[in-house]
Amino acid sequence: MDSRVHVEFTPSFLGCPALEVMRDQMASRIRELGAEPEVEVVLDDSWSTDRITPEGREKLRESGFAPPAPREAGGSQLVQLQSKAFKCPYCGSTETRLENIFGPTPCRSLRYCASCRQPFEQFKTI
Amino acid sequence: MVSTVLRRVSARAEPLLPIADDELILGWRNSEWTGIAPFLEEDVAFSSIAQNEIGHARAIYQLVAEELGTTADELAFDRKPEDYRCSPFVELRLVPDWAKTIARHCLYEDADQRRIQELIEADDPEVAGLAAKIDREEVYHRMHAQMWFERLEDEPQFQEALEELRPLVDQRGEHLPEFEHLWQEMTEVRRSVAGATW
Repeated sequence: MDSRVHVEFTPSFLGCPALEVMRDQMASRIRELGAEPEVEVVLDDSWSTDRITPEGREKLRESGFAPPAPREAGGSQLVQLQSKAFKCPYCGSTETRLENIFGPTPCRSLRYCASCRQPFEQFKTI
Repeated sequence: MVSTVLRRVSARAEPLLPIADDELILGWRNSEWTGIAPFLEEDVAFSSIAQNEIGHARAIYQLVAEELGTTADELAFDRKPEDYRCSPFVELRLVPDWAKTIARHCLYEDADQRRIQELIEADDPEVAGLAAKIDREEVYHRMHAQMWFERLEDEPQFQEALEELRPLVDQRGEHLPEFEHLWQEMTEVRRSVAGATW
């Protein structure tokens, strides 16, 4: 019986420092389940944050992270990030402003909600 | 077995190594702002950009390493200074000059966008796929550069920095004397402990 499990996964950002940790955790979980893991890190553009499921987006929001905006034709623009089109994950208001394009990890930006006066992390669109 | 592999294998080391070396060395230079940038936001921004650039270098090294029979770490840390193909433009140590740092950031992101675009249009799907991925991330670097360009464009000090650095953008060849110091620091661990990993 072939008990190998092949996993392909793509990091949101190539320089993600959690890459090795995620890869090793996947491998050890698969081993715990009695199979031999083969974890492949895919380094191309085939994955997008658009592929996060509605359920996944809701889990992000519940944890206080605003889910990523959809990919735009022609790519993301600074003017969009600076617009108010982003919803606060806490109160749902769009009275939010960009504080910093970069946040605690490469995949997130920092925003501030003027309605509930709460800073929050906005996932970048990839 | 756990392995980091790419989907297809190509033979494109020649044009790719200078790009990876530029990203590695510029990432290193950007990281020199960590803890001492003029604003906390910029401390975070430059640290994050540094992390991304080094991530791009790693991904390109991985792609090249397979066909060269080596590893990304060996390419990044075990070569002699003269074997690095980076441009003197990225070797310049600009800390604590913020105007020059932003000028290089703007000039580099602009030049980098053009060469990444060429790779996206390459016939090799593996190179094109990685380049497209890199470009998705670089979008945020370009936004950051644009934001600072708009803020500083009327400042004479910034304009002077742009004029001074612009001719260096496409220069290749001899390393700057300050590259030697960077190389010493960057390769110290691997020279002390052969094959050390992180």
